[in-house]
Formats: sequence, C-alpha cells, structure tokens
Amino acid sequence: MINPEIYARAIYELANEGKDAGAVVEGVKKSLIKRGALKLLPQILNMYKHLVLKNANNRAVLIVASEMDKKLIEKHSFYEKDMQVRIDPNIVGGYRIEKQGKLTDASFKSKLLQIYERATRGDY
Amino acid sequence: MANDINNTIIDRIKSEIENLNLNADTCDVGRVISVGDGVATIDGLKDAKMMEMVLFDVSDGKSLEDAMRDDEKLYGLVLNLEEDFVKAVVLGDPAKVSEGMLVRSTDKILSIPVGEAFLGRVVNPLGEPVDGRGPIKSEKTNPLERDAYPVIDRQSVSVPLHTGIKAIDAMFPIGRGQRELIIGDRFTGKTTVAIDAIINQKNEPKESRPFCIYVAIGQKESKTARIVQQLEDAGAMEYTIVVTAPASTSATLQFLAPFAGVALGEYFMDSGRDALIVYDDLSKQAVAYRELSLLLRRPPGREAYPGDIFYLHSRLLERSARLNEKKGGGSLTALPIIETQEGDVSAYIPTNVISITDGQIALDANLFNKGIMPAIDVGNSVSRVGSAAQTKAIKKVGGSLGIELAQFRDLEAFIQFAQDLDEATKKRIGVGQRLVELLKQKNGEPVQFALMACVIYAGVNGYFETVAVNDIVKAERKLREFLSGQYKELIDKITRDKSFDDDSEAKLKEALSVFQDTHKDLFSVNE
Repeated sequence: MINPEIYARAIYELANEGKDAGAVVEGVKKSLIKRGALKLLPQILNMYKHLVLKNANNRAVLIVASEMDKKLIEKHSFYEKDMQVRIDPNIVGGYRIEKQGKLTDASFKSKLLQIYERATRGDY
Repeated sequence: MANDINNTIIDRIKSEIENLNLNADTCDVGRVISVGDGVATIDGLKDAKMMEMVLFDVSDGKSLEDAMRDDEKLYGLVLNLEEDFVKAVVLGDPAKVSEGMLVRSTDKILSIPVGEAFLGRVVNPLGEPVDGRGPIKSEKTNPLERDAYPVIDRQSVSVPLHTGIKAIDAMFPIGRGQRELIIGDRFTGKTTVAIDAIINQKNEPKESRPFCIYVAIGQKESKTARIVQQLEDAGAMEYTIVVTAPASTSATLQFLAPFAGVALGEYFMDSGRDALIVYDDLSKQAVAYRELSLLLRRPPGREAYPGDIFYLHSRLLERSARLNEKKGGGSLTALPIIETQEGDVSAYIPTNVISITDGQIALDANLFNKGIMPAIDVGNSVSRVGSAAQTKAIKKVGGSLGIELAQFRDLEAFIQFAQDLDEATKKRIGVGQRLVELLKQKNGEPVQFALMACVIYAGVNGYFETVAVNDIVKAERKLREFLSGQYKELIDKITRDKSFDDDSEAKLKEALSVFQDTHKDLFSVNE
C-alpha cells in the first residue's frame, strides 16, 4: 500500500537539497504510474504544500516597507540574523514579524486602518 | 450639511489619532492551505478553540487605499480542531479567501450583541440588522454556545404562557420555561400556531409580558417578510425580535440561527424577565448541520446525519428554563417546530426532538383538509407540564373537554350510521361535533384567556346544544363579542383574579341566559 505522506516528504527533502523541481515531480509521476497509483498525485502534492507551509513557519519572516526601514530594524534587539526579509510597500511603514504561528504587527497600515474603521463606524 | 459631516469625521479622526495605541499588536496566526465549499483548512493557529472566531486578513498584500475601500471584515468559525490544522467555515463570501492568506486568531468565542435595542428588528445570526433600519447599538454580547443552567438554578414550571389558542390552552397548557414541540406535515398550520402565540402576548399586562423571538431557519424570504408584516399589523413587533437565516444563506448561518436566537432570549431570562422563542424549524437546522458536517469530513451516521445530531438539539433546548428566585426568576419558553414527512413521527429527527421536549402539539394534515383549524390531533398531543401551568379559570372549566373529545373520536366512525344509533350515543356525537366546532379558530385571532374560559364553560355545560353544528363558529364569535361588550366587568374580574369563582360562575350563567334570549335565531335546533 502506497503512503502519500512518504512521497510528499521525499519530494520536500529533495527540493531542500536543491534538486530540480520538474525532474523530481516527473520521477514521482513515473513511480506512481509504475505502481498504478497516479490518482494519488494530487494528494501527495497537497501534503507537500502542507510540509512547506509548516516548515516555513519555523523561520521568522520580517516584512518592512523599504530597504531603509530594514536598516532601521536591524538595530533593534528583536532582529534575528536568519530572519527572512520581505519588502512590501503596502504596509506603508513600521514592520511585521511572523514566527512560529505568531504575528507581531507594528505596521503603519494596520494602525491607519484601525483609525479609519473606528472613525467611520456607524455606532460611534 | 456636507461641511458638518466632514467636520464631524475630521474631529473623530483627530480624536482617534490622539488616543492611538502605538504598541505592536501580537496575535496567533495561521495560513490557509485550501478553501472549498465554504470551508477553509488553516495551518497554524495552534491554540485555536472550538467555535472561535478567526479573521481572514483580506487586506494582506493590498494597498492601504484598496484595504479601506473593501472595509468589510471576513470572519471564520473554527469547527474542526485536527492534529496539524484547523478547519473553519467562512462566515461571508468564501470567494474572497485565497490559498496562503493570513488568518488571525481573535481569541473570542462566537458571540452576538444583545439588548432591548433588538426589539422590533430583523437580524441575521451574527446580530447584523437586515431590515434596512440602520445599525443597532448594543453594549452587551452573549456567546452563541453556552452551558444550560444546572438543576439547582431552576424551579418547576408553574406560570402559564397563554397561546390564545383554545385547544392548546384548554387541553395542552404551556408554562413559562417549558419546551413544547409543534410537529406536523408541511402546510398544516405549525407556523400559524407559533405566530398566534406571539401575537397573543399582546393581551398580557406589559409588566409580565414575555419578549418574543422568532427564528426563521431556511425559510423563504417572502414567508419571513409576510410574518414580520403580520406581527407589525398586530402590534406584536414592539416586543419581538426576528432572527432570519433564509434558504439562500449558507448552511453555517442556518445552523447558527437557533443559537443566536437563544442567546438573545437568555439576555431577558438572565435579567429576571420572561421570553418566548420559536424555532421555525429545527428540521431545516438538522439538514444544514448535516451539510456542514459532511463538508467538514465528519463521519456520517444514520440518514447521513452526524453522530452528535441529538446533542445539537438537546443542548439548544436545554437552555430554555425557568430560573429560581435566586437567579432572578426569569424564564425562556421554547416552541420548536419539526416538519414530518407524511405524518411519520417515528422518523429519526422527530423522535429525537420529541424525547427532548416537554410535550408536543401534533398537527394532522387530514384534519386540516377537513377544515378543522387549528388541525390539532388531540390524541397525539400532550403537555407533560399539564395543569400545573394552567390558569385556574381554564383548569376549572376545561377539565372535561379532553375526555369528551376522546369519547367523540371513538364514536366518530359511527356518524354515518346516525339513523341506527341510540339516543345517548347520538347525543354524545352531537356534543363532540359541537366541541370540535367550538375549538376552531381563525389564523391571527388569538383569544384572551378570560373569554376563552367563558366560551369553554358554555361548550362543556351544554349551552350550545340547540345550536346547529354549522352555526357553532358564528355563535362562539358572537358570544365573545357579547361578553366583551355587555359583561366587560366579568371578563376583567376573571382576567384580574385568574380564577373562576362561584360569583363569576353565577354571573356567567346569567350572561349566557341573556345571550340565549337575545340570539334565538342561533338556538333553534331541537334535538
């Protein structure tokens, strides 16, 4: 009996080792066709996506609005060197840190949205 | 005018900026792995609780301007807690949810705003008004799911809740805090019985009048609109809240609607007042819950219902109670409605709910088709609280009504042989036919209990013996008009005392005698 989770884990580890994603998927497809279990491919790919998301959460993600903001944040005590940094001008300013299922949001966008919502709420 | 509005908004914004908390907000988050059929699978949210509200961050990745334009928040409700992920139903448009979207925990269990401000309004199960009359201000919220009061906090049901329907108040009296099921096939008058009960509360003194909540589950919007109009025309909306989850809404909202209604009712019960809640109908809630459970991949049981379908209804109905004086003495009376198929009360959901409730009013399609309305099947109806919750006035006069009707039912088959029967049997059949006519009642015309007591007294004591069977309905209406007009003091006395003493009986006998003399055209049959 084929266990889709084992296939998903194998794809994940090969991808982490830097193997070509297209070649890996082709290899998995051939293996499944040989065993008459091609219908499991969508399930295996879903489990792979889940593994990617799960492991991504272990590494902190820092979102800032610009490079200049990133340089400012690097001076703070909560900055970690292995943080994955993303530039998103939509947050306007400040920062957001997502790590292990927790979000710390000190972005200007969230504060401005709070002001807007509270000021325009009908029952003010 | 436009300048005034702009200045107001500017002042508000200035105030918000001055009071702004600049600290970073921290919350638990997850990411959407997949979404389909209104259910989102979310990775993360390790500390998610059952029935917790989660917020889908639809503004993630959007500019500030776009986020302000689309300012409606999109919530989800956590219903499955699994090893590696949680499943949440989307309480809104699932098309706005995308894979990878950030989901924030709100740390709040699903609650609904409650209060007096909801009286006269029509809301959805999230407490949002849908009647186009503006937002509702409320300071308190109640959770949709809450444990029922334990035994120690309750007292037995002893205060009547008058439905204004003669057959029910005389033979199957309902008390405040009771759960009385209304069960029958489609188009047998189940909703009519419930709405008449709501309208009849207008006859109660304002200080003891129960607040009413009508929960429409999976109904046609046209039907709900008609009911709201009927309540408005009768002046009943001033003490009624309507919670609606029409057939066009998601299964989630149809599943939540009764819980929203009971949360609104508990506000009144907890403050020492009485409330009446109608669930119309729980069969549709069961179907919605089945749909939701199958989408959440919960294992199906009998008739594909989930294993906890009984618990769905039992935990809802157990929240109706009469509290003891220490807890304020308030009550919440429930009138759940169940629709049967071809009169089958032994089906799965009907038997479940019958075993939970404190009695049932069974409506029969054959009686309805014969023109007997309300089409109450006296043989299959019961109130387990019984006369403990019956006004003394009605208890005194209505005692023999059930027995007379039971005997008539046994003899009914012999009506076709009327020529060959002995006099005693013919008389009994005549009495039975007249009582059946006496208990007929028009939709939307509940009868105040004092008048009801007088009419039933006349019926069981043979005052209508010489009225033709076809004229009983007319005679009963004229008698009520006569007593309301000419003997108002008697009616007020019975209403005030809630009993039928010897003086009242003597006065009523006099009134009936006068009525017979002044309506000789009605009392014209010699039998």
